[in-house]
Amino acid sequence: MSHHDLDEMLRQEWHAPPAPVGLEERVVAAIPRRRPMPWRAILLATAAGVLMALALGPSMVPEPAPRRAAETPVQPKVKPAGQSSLLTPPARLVLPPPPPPDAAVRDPKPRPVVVPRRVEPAADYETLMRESLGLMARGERMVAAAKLRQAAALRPRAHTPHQRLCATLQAAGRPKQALSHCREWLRLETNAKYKVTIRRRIERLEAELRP
Amino acid sequence: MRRPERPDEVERSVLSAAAGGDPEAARRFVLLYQDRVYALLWRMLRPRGLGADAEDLTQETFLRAFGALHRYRPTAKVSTWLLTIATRLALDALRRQGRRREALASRREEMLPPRPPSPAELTEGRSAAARIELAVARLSPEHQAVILLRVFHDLDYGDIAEALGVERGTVKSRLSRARQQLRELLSEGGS
Repeated sequence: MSHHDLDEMLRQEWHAPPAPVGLEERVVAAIPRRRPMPWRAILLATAAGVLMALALGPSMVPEPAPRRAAETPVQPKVKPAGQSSLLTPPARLVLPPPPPPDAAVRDPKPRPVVVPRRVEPAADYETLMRESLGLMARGERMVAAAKLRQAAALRPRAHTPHQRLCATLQAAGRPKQALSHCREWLRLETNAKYKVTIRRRIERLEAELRP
Repeated sequence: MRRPERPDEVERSVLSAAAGGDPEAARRFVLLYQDRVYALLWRMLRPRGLGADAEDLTQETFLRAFGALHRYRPTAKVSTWLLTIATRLALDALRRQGRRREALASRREEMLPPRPPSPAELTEGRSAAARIELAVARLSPEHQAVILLRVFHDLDYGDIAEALGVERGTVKSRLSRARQQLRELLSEGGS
């Protein structure tokens, strides 16, 4: 019996049953997934944020812009008719300070208030990698490459961002950039079995770049 | 009942959605590959009496895959990657079973591991499938994995080498040895 005959016999005679019905439901139900934040947790988080802001004091609250005295002059109180001057002291007339000499040439607009910019929380490695996969699937290669570069910066010893950058940039028609990431991938790859494939890819890219 | 035809490999959009935690995408992903994964595990475990564990290990394969989808290497097919996980799980289960039997046998002499069937026993009143199962049970788990991945799942030598963590040459020699053993067992039994 040749090995082709043997293989054919095994395929013909030894049938495995299909997967049990409902297996996919059980698998999906068993996948641990991130639950949406419940209302109670949202309220607690908000309260914690407010308390923290109060504890840190006014240094975190942006100061309001200084009022210009010229814009809001104090108006003298007008004594109502018939009211005795003995009961109420005479209103003190406060004159607005004289305008600066070059007030006419100054910009009449108030100065913009500098509000500290809200810093977006930095995306973590896993999120960046997941987002890059979605972007690659949608064909947005350069956006995906940007995410992957961020991920590579977050984990300098991880080879996967460089592996994906190597493939993505090559597909985006940027062999020179791809080559540097392929080399980085080769340097960081721990599995010796993959190194042969990576070297082959590097050789192909180098041949492509040769004039 | 014939199942509806499905594409061979998952679409990238489904893969990324499943990686992002979309349950519908995860369901589609499992539906596409579950038969292949289950068949491999069933053929790995059933000849050694662990067929009932195939379902649990199929579930475990997918759960591990979902846990590592972001590490998936686009250089390999998704099916190959899943079969790699399944093969390793099956080999672990078979090794555990072997260790348990050895421990039991060392404690109680009467509980020796089952004697491998003789060629005559392989044929006696048994169907071809049962004879194949008995013959496969006499292979080592590593030889069994090689022949299953090659014959039933059409993996090439490189993919099998990656799945089992061995050299390509080892895969070739194991495959040749496994075929030789099966040929002998089945032809002796059939003559």
